[in-house]
This record gives sequence, structure tokens and C-alpha cells, in this order.
Amino acid sequence: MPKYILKRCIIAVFTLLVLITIIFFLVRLLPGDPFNDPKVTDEVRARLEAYYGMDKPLIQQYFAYLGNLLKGDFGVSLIYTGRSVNSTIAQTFPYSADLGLRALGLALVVGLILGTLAAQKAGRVIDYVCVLVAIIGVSMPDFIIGALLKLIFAIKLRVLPAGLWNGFSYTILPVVALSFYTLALITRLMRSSMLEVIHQDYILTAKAKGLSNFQVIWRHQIRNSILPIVTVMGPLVAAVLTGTFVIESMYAIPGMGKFYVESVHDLDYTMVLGMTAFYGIFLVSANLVVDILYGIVDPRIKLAESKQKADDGEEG
Amino acid sequence: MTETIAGKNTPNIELTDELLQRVGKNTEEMNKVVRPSLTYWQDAWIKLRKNPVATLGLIILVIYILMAIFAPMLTPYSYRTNNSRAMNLEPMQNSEDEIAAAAESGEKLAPHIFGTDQMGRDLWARTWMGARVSLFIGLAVVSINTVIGCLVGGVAGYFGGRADMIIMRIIDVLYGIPMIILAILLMVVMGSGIVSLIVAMVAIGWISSARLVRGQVLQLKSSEYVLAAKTLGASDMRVIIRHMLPNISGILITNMTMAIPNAIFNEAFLSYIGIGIAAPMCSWGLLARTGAALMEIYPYQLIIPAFFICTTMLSLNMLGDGLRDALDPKMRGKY
Repeated sequence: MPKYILKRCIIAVFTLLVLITIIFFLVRLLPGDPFNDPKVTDEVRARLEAYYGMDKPLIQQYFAYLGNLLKGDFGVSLIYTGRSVNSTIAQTFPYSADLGLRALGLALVVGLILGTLAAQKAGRVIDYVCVLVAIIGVSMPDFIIGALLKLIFAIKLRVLPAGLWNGFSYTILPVVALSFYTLALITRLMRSSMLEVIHQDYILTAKAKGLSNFQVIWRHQIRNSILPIVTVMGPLVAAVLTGTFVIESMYAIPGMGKFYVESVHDLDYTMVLGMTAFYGIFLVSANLVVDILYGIVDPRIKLAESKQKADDGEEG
Repeated sequence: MTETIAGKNTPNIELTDELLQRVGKNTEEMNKVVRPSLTYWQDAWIKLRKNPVATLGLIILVIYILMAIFAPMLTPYSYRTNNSRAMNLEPMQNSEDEIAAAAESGEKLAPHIFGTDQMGRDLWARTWMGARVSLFIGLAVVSINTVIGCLVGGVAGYFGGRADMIIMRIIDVLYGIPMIILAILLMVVMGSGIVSLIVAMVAIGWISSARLVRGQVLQLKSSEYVLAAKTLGASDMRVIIRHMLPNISGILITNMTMAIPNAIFNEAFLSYIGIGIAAPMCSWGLLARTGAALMEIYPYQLIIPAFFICTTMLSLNMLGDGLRDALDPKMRGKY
């Protein structure tokens, strides 16, 4: 187990290093020199020079940049005087985190319930409804869901606010839009993994010894079929985070995603790079946590690996 | 020859030649083929056709592809011609100016089947032009990913040893880089356009197919027929092309079908946030973006591209599910 965690940590560190290196050298590949743009004010230039050490050779600049990131300094805006990446993140990230956590929570709860329900009632109407929700959710990009929800509930029916982030009623549409894809994926996964568990002998045993239906589902079926969900939590966090770019812009939520998209539009290169570095670090860390969690949660990891090898050998 | 056995307690049976036939192995009977011999692909095709959901997906996709090729020719309007006198028309309408002009010149006026956008461009032409771009990008990205994945994963899996170890370490490290973040970054640096989109999506996208191919090759490497081929003196090249490739092609095709909706989604996403395709070129994602901006007044401008994006992704997902069952050799003969 410690070896597994150590290996994951080393890989994560290298991943971050590669990502940051790409980020650093990409800006040098930009056509022309964005730092010499007449739009860039003298004050910003001075701050950029201080940050990157632009009078020094490239390789020293690179290490200066790495050092800055290690200190938690993500740089300054190229266009707006006095705006730094750090202050922007500090201002906007709480909104994004709030939105993202709500969406992830909703997706997990509803997805698990729908998936469980579908598997319990396999082949019945409820099952088909759940499968339909799942397949529609996977096929509908969040920007379309978001736009349609806004069109129906905010513009046509006028029952919910069309934007901003001022209270619970404001959160409903964006959270639902953001969680839809994730919810569908979890439903699908949960259904198929539970269908496998349902026919195991220990379920029969549990029923035979007189456990109630609820207890069988809660104590035996859900616990044994939830593992595949843990494995996809990393990509799901990434999907929700990407979704915030669109949903926050669409619903005028003052979060980091909206700001990121605006910086991309403004061609505020240093802002984009700084925020990308932050997103990269965030996602790689999230993946690392999920990987480690998976190792802890699943006592069968070792067993499954050796079984897999045995299976491969048999087939070969 | 007929004789009668007459004895105690035995019934009177007449023994004929017919009754005295030899019963045993009959080579002719044994060689008779009961089921028509089917190749792997024929078998898969039959199974796919028996799956109504997958067939529906396939039909919708074929229609969309045909429309993407031919539909722009069915209308006199170009996807990029602005017309300030026919802006934001509802579907199947013409502006008064157009009707007056047509009445003057005596020409027959073609309707704007999907209406026009805020620049007066015909949305039917734009939608199917967008279909070309979106479908092409989806197909191109996934094909390139698969080719690179086959090369890298094949080398790692087949030759193993140090090559495998180095490649796998690199893949482990790269796999953690969030794809969409890197794609956004690359798009910002390269500027918008079809080529940049493809490059940005291939940059990380090849990794998952490389992992898939490596796993499959590793499994096949120890199979008997590969051993037999090698014993008979087949070269590595021949083993890979004749034996391994056909055996992983089913899984590869399924994987490609499932990856295309992702690529289409990513293209739409990047175009939607404004760094994918730039006007006057168009893609479904860009159409959805311009449509969403005007949805309060002209909802059809959003609903039309949204409908096509969703149904395409839905069809590909349905087809992919069907293909997975149809191409699984373990399910062979199970109808």
C-alpha cells in the first residue's frame, strides 16, 4: 500500500512538472512577443519583468517561474494593471467551488438512487426511464442543457432567475445543468455494476438469513457496487470543472470559470497561463486523492490484479 | 432376401434389407454444414441489424452524413453570404425584400428552410456546413488518435521490455494532464481553426487508445496462434498485420465509435466558449453559441443546432453500445 501511494505521488509530481513546462514554453512560442505589445502598460511590464526575470536567460526564467509557482504565486494579468492571478482566484474560486460541489453532490445522490432503482427493477418501466435519462444526459452537452433550462424556466415560464448567484433559487438551474452529464454517467455505471452484484451468492445468503430488502440493498448491494464510481471520480471532477466554464458564463455567476473564459477572449495570456496552472494543479491533486482513496477503499485491488493476470494467462 | 424367424416367444417380424442397414458414422452426414459459415464481420453485421436501437443510430448517422455531403447543394444560399435584408427569419420564410425582388425578376424563390441568422446567412446551409465540420473533426481526431495509439501501444505491448517500460512511464505522466485544459491552452496559442482543433485534441487524446492497444497486444502475444505463427517462421510484421490487427479491430472500432461523440462534444465546447471555429466558417458548436446569444428572441436558432448535436451524440452512443455487443467474440453465435 505505501508503495502504491508513493508511486502515484511520484507520477503526479512528474505530470505537474510536464504540464508547467508546457505552459511556460507555450507562451514563448506565441507569434510575436505578447509582452512587447503596445497595449501592455509600463507598470504591468515592470511587474512581468519582476515575475519572470525577463532580462535573464530563458532557462533561468524557467526556474524562476517554477520557484514562483512553488511559492504559490501564479503571476499577474497582462492587460489589467494591478490585477494578479492570485487575487482573481481568491475572489472567484469560492463561487466555482460552491457551484461545483453542489453539482457533484446532486449528481452523486440522484445518480446513485436512479442507478440503484434501475438495477432493482431491471426490465421494468422504471428501469427504462432511468436508462433513458442516462443516455440523454450523456448525449447532451452541458451548454445545451444549460441554455434550454434557461430558455424554459427563466425566460418562458419565468419561475427561476436567469442569472447571478444571490441565494438558493439562483442556484437551481446552473446546478442542475452542470450536474446532468455527471448524473447520467453515475446512473449508467451504478446500474451496470449493481446488476453484476445482484446475482452474487452473498446476496442470496443475505436474503436467506432474513435481512430486509432495504438492508440487503444498503449493506450488501450498494457497498459492493459503488467501487466503479470511485474510479471515475477523477474524470468526473474534471468534467464538472470544465462545465463551470460554460455554465458560469451562461448564468453570469462570478466564478473562476467565467473569468477564465473572459481571459481567453481578451487574450490575456499570462492570466490564462496562471489560471491554467492552477486548474492543472487542482485536477492532478484531485486525481491523486481519488487514486489513493481507491487504493484504501478497495481491499481487492491486489486480489483483482493477480486474478486479472491469472485470467490473462488462461486465455492466452 | 426375406426370411422369417420363427421361434418361441418371438414375434413374427419380417426382416427386410431396409432394416438391416448398417448404423454408424456416415461421413457425408458429418460433413454437412448446418449453419451457413459466417466470417466474423458477417456475424457482427447480422447481430447489429437485429439490434433495433443500434440500427436506428446507424440510420440516423448515415442520413446526417449524406445530408452533410449533399444538403448544401439543395439550396441556392451559401453558408457564408451575409444578407442584411433577410436577417433573423423564422424557418421556411422569406423576407419581404426577397419576395419583392423575386417577383420583379420572375425567378422562383427558395425558402430559408431553417431560417436565417442575425447576419442574414441561411441556417439550412450553415447547419449542414457545420455538420461537415463537426463530423469531419470528430472522425479525423479519432482516426489520428487510433493510428498513433496503435503504433505506440503496439510497440510497447509487442516488444515489451525497456521500450514498454519507457513508453508506459511517459503515458502515466501524460495521462494525468487534463485534456480540455491543455486543449484550451493550445487553442489560445495556435489560434482558432480546424487544424488547430484537431492538433489540440490529438495532443492528449491518443493516450487512451495507446493504453487500450497495449493491453490487447499483451494479451494476444501469449496466444497459441501467435506462437504457432512465430514457430512457422512468420516475421514480426506478419504476426502484427495478419494476426494481431484483425483480432483487436473489433475492440478498436467499438472504442472509436464511443470516442467520436467525445471529440464532437469537445469541438462544440471549444467553439462554444469562442476559441474553436471562427465565423464565417461554422460548426454545430459555433451555431449553438450564436443561437444561445439570441435565444430569448429567436429560440429556433439555438434549438436547431442543439437538436443536431444531441441526436448525433445519441446515435453514436447507441451504435457504439450495439457494436460492443456485436463485435464481442465471446458473444458469437448468440442471437
